[in-house]
Amino acid sequence: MNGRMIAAEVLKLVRRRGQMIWAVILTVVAVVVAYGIAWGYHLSNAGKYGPAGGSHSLEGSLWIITTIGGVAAVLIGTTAGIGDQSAGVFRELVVTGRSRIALFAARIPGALIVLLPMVLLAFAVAVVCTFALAGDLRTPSASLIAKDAVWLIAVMTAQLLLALGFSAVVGSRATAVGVLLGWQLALSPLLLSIDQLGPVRQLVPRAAALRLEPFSNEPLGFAMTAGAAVAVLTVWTVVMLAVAARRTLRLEA
Amino acid sequence: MDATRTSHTPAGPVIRTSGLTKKFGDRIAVNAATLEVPRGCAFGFLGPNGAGKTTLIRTLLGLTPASAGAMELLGLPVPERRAEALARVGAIVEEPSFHGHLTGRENLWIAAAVRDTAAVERIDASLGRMGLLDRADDRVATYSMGMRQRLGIARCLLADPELLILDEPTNGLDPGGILEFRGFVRDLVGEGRTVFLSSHLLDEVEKICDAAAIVDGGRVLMQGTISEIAADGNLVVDLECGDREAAKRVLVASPAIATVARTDEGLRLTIARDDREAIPGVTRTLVHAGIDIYRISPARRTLEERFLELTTTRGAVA
Repeated sequence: MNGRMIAAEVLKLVRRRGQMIWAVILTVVAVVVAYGIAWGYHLSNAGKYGPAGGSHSLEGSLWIITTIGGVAAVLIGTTAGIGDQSAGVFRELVVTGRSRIALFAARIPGALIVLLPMVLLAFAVAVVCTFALAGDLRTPSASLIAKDAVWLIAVMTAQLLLALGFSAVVGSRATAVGVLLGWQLALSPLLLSIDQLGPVRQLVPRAAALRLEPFSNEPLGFAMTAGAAVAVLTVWTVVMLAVAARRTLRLEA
Repeated sequence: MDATRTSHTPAGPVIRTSGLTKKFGDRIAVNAATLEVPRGCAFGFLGPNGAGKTTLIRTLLGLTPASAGAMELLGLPVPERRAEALARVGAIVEEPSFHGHLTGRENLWIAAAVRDTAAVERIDASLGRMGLLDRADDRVATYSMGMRQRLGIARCLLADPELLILDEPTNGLDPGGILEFRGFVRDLVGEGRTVFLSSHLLDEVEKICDAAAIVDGGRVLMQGTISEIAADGNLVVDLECGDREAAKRVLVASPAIATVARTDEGLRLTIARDDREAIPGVTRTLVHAGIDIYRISPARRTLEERFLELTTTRGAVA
């Protein structure tokens, strides 16, 4: 793998104009809209609706970026994971003699380079709005903002890489997008809400993400150490990428 | 692009397979194929649809693993030294594929990015050589089939290849494009490159190639120069004579003749047991039967006739 291969992956993704527009909408624009609505309510009835900014709003923004922006991560991750195969170009790259593992590995930094700037921009917008629209509300400390940024990058990276790996494993972008969105938006919250599952719920990546979230205001309903949460996210991501790499290695190109 | 080039790989055949076999479950797609492609020529890989041509190419290029046998590309054993060998090979398998949302130039850049730095520097030259510079910055989704084929060949040229492997390269080309393609292949051969061209179009192979192999049912049935292949087989002569029906009756009764067929100009005879010495006897028999003989000559057979003789799926051949 070299820098040009990573740049090539970036090029393939950013030239999909429609997808890029949607990714920006699902990350940056979603945060702007959320603050805009909250600010509008505040302006219309300050007695009933508090200021749009403040620490609590930042927590809400993180939820928006990881949940709605998570859809962008799925779109970008699946395109990076299966785009070459879908277009039939993977075969053309394999016949150059370059190793399949290198071809697969280049997708990872390529996809991250495309997604993370959007995520960080959305987070920056959220931080600015948190302070600018705080009014008399408490604002987050610099260390909390830094922790939030690290957490956000980690969670979005995990979501992206899971999508990238999963799409390469199933070999179909449409199937991968459907399954991942179903898992992310419906099945994961459902599993976490079933008390009878007890500590087994620690295995759900969403539980790990919630456990590590710096605000930690959302109760999980079961005990989970930070170490376990890091391990769950890491194992899911590494195992998915390993399975995807193995599949890429054995694929009939 | 090097116009006069020196080989970077060991001398000898550019492709060599020995007992190469590829199975899909119980089905044998390539059956103990033994093939040797000499360096510096246009080599036709000829066979009906489903003969195993593409599977053999895919196996050679590492797109699918071989079930048994040995193979070499540019004198290097594959898959052991596959990366080294393929660095000097340009290939199109089936039809060339591209990212339709990217321009022609961007698609070549993506292919060059996985090769060495020199490949990036060859992008403009490759586009220019294939006459695509003026459309290089248009999205490939807007390209015609012929333009995609040319872009596929331009992508092959990024490697400055010693060997080009082209699978059915004239598919989708109009007559003008096919004519242009023939000239292009000859130019490449003139530069010292080898072009391995898989096709089911006999006429194309006969016009473009110096040598060929005929494959059917996954087996390489025959290989050699085009004239060697066309000439090989049973001894066949063309006979121009007076009373054709009388001549045919006499010849059918002769044990020296295996088959007799009418042609536009007379009769075509297949001599039994390829016995050249039987020809004077046949001539005497005809003369004794009172038949005038104007001409008797070895039949000039075409690659197509030889191909049809060797392969089993005559009806499928275009």
